[in-house]
Amino acid sequence: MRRRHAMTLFEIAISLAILSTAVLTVALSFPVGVRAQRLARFQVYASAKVLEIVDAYVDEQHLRKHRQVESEHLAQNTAMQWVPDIDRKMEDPNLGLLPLPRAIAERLDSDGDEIARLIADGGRIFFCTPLSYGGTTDQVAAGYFMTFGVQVGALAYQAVAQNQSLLIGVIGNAQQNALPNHPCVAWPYHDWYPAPAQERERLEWLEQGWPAYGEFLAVCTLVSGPTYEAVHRDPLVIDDYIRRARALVQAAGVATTGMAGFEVPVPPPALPTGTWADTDLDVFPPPWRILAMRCLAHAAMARTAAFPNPADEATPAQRAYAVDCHEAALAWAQRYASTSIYDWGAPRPLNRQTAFDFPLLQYDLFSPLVTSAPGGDVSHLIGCPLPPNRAPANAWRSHGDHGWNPMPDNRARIAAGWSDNRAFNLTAPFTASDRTRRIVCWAADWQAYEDAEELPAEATSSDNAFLDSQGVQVSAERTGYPPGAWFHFEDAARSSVFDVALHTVLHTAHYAQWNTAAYKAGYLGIHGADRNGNGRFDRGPLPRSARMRATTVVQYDVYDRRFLSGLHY
Amino acid sequence: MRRRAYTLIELMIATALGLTICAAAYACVRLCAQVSSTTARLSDENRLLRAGYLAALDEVDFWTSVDDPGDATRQKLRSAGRPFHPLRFVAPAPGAPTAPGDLVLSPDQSHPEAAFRGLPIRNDAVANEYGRYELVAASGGTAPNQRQARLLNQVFDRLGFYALFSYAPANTIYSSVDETGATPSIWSRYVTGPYHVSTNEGVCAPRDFTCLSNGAIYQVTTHPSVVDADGNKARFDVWNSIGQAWPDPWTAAGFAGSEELIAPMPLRPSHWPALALAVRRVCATFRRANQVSLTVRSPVSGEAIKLNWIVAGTTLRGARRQRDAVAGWKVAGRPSLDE
Repeated sequence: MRRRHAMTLFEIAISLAILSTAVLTVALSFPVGVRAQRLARFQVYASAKVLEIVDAYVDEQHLRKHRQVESEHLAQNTAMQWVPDIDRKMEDPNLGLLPLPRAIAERLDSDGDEIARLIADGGRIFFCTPLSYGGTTDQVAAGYFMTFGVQVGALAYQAVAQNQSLLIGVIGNAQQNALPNHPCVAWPYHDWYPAPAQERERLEWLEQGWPAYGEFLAVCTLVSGPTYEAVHRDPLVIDDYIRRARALVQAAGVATTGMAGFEVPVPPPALPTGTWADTDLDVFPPPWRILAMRCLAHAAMARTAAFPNPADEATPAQRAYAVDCHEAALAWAQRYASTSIYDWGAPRPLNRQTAFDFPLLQYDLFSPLVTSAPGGDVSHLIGCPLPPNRAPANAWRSHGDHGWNPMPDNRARIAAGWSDNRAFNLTAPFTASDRTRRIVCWAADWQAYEDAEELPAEATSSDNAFLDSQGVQVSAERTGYPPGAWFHFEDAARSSVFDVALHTVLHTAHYAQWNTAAYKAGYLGIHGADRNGNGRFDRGPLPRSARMRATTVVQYDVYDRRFLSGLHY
Repeated sequence: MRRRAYTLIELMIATALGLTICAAAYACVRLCAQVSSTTARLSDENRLLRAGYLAALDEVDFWTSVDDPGDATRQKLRSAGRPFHPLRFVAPAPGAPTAPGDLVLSPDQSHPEAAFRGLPIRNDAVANEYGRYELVAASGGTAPNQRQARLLNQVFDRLGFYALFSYAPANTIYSSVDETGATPSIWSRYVTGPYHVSTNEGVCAPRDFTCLSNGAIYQVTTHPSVVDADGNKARFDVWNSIGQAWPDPWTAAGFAGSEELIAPMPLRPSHWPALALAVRRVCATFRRANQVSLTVRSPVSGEAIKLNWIVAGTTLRGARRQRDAVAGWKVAGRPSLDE
C-alpha cells in the first residue's frame, strides 16, 4: 500500500502565496472600475461647465457694464483688453472659474503635455470656485441680487469638492479680435431722433468748423439745457424755435420743399444702382445736415403740444408740417446711419431698431507702438476698413468721463492714432479651422498639494477691476475685483479672508484704505487663498516636489469669434 | 500499523493557517462587496446624472415641460395672454404694403415703420405737453406708422413679457401710444399690480431691454400661482422684493418655486437615488438664460449631488415654431403657432 503524505508546510505556503497573488490582483483591479465611474462623473460635470462657458461666451456683452469704455490716450483704456476670447472670458468672476496657480499647473502631467504647452504659451488653467452658485445665479445675472433677495437654492450646491478637481483650459491660438470700440471715443454715440440740440453737438460743430454754426448756436441757445422746459410752455417761443431750426436747415444746405413758412426737407431719393460716388450727398449726407433736420423735426413736433389755452393749439397745417418734418428727418437719419458707418459726425438714431451698428476697428499689430507717457503703457495704432491712409470722417472727440472727471480733449490723439489700414483683416475670408479652439477638461486632485492654499492668486487682467493700470478709478461702481477676491487671505497669518465688504461701500472715504499696501496685498491675493472655501487655511499631504497626473476628461472644439456679439437678443 | 495523531503544534499551525485563509477570504469578499457596491452606486448616480443632463438639454431645446404638443393636458400656456397662445404673424416682402391690423414680423428693421417714433423723455399723462407724437406713430388711428406699436402691444397682450423680448428686435424701445396719445400702463408709470415696468429709477421714460431687465426677472412658468394670476405678463422685481411683499404672483416665495420640475427616468427602481431636475427660463439683467438645476440624492445617506448650469437653448419664438397650430409637433405644410 502506497503511503500517503499530508501537504507539507512549504506546499501550503506556496499555495497561500499563489492565492494571495490572485486576490491582490483582483483587488488591484477594483479601483479601475471606481476610476472609470469617477471619470464618467467628471465627464458630466465638465460637459455642463463647458456648456455654461460657451453660453456665457456668446453672451459676453451683457457683462460689460461698469467698465471704462473711453480714455484720453490710446494706451489707457483697459476695456480694450477684454477681447472676445474664451480664455479671457473665463477670467470673468461671474463665470465661477478661478485661475489655478501657475506653480501647481506646472506640476501637472497630461496627455501630450497639453498642460505644459498651454502654460508655456502663456495660457492658464482654471478650476471651479467653491461658491458654485456664484457661477450660476450670477450667470443668470439676476446675480447677487437674486441670491440676496430670494435665496434660490441657497448653499445647496454640494458638488463643489469634486468639481474643484476639474481643471479647464483652452488650447489653440487666439485670434486678433475686433476692438469693442475706439479706445478714446466709444463711437457710435446714440441719440433720439428727433431731439433738441445737445451741448456736445455744439462743441463738435464749433471745433470741427462745420458750416452754419451761427444758426446752430441760435437754436442751441434757445432750447438747450435749462431753457428746455420753458420753451415747451410758450407757443410763441416754439414758433421762434421752428424759425431758427428752419434757418439752420437751409443754411446747412438741405434741400426743402413746400410753401413759405412750412418748408420741409426733401426726403432722401432712392439709392442709385451701381457704385455710389463719395461725393453724392444724397447717399452720404454730411452729419450737420442730419443734426439740423433733427432739430427742425423736434421743433415742429413741439408746436403740436397741448397748451393751457386752446387758442394756442396747433393748426392742421402745423400738425401736418410736424409729421412731414419728422418723416424726412428720420428718413435722412436712417440713410446716414446706413451708408456712413465711418462718418462719426452725427449720433446714430437710438430709436432705430436694427441692432446697434458698430464700426469695425482693430489694432494694427504692424504699426509702431505709441504710449501715453514715457515708460507708460503702450498701444498699437487703430485700423479700419477704409482705403489706405483714410480715417473716419468728422470723428468726435470723447465727451464722456474718465473716473469722476470730464475727459480731457483727446481729439488730436484720436487723429494721430490711426494706422494706414493695410493690416486690417477683419473682413478677410477665413476657414473654419482659423476660428477653432479647443476647450480641454482634466481631472487632478491638485488640492492635495501642501501649498494649494498658500500660493498667491494668479494675476488677472486689470480690465475687470475698478482701478486701471495707473490707479485711476475707471468704473462708476466699485464692483470689479479679481475673480478670487472673495477667498483671498487677508494677511500672512491666513486666519481670515479678505474683507470684500469694503468693495461695496460707495463712499470715497475708503480711498485711503484702498491705497494701503495691506489692502492691495489682500486684494491681489498675495497671501494665498482659501481655495476650497472651507473658511480655514489647509495644507495638503503632497509635497510640492511631487508631480501629479491630470486625466483628460473631455475635449470640445468651439468657434472662437473675433467680434463682440450676442446670441440671445 | 500504528498511526500517529497530529501534534498540538501541527494543529495550532493548521488552525492558524486556516484562520488566515478564512480572514483573507473574508476580507477579499468584503472588499469585493464594498467595491462592487461603490461602483454600482457611482454607476447608478452617473447614469442618473447623465439622464438628467440629457433630459435638461432636451427640455431647453423643446420646452416640453412647459408645453407638451403630444399631451393636451400639459398645455397650460395656450390661452390668450400666455406664451404658447397661437398668434398669426405676417412677413411681407420688402416694400410690400401691409393691411391695417396686420402683425408684422419682418427682418427688415430698416423699414420706416420699424422705428420707435415717440417722445423719448416722457411716457406719462403730461407727455403731450412736449408734442403729439401720436400724429406720427400710434397703435391705431390715422398715424402713418403703426407697426412698432402693434407689435409691442399685441405680443405683450397675447403672449406676455418673456415672449415680447423674444420677438422684438434687439434694441427695441418698449413704448407706444394710442391714437389719443395715451401710453399703456405697461410702458408708463410704475404700478404695483401684476404689471411692473418700473426699473426702480423713478423716471417715466421709454426703456430698452437693458433698462427693463436691470434688477428684474421675466420668466415663462406653468406654476399655478403665477399662471392663474396672469403672472406670465408680470415680472419679478428683484430689488423691490427685498423686505417687501407685493400683491402679485412674483413674490420672492412665488419666484423661488416657479421653476419647471421635470422627472426624468420615471420608471427607475425605487431604491435608486432620487433624481430631481428643474429648469428655469428667464430674461434677467440684460440677457436671456436657461438655468438648469440637477440633483441626485441618496436615499440611504441623504447625500446630494447638485449641479447647476446655464445653457443656451431654443428661444420661445423657436419653440412656438416647433409646434403645430392645432395639435402635435409642426410638420411641413401645416402652420405653426406663429402662422
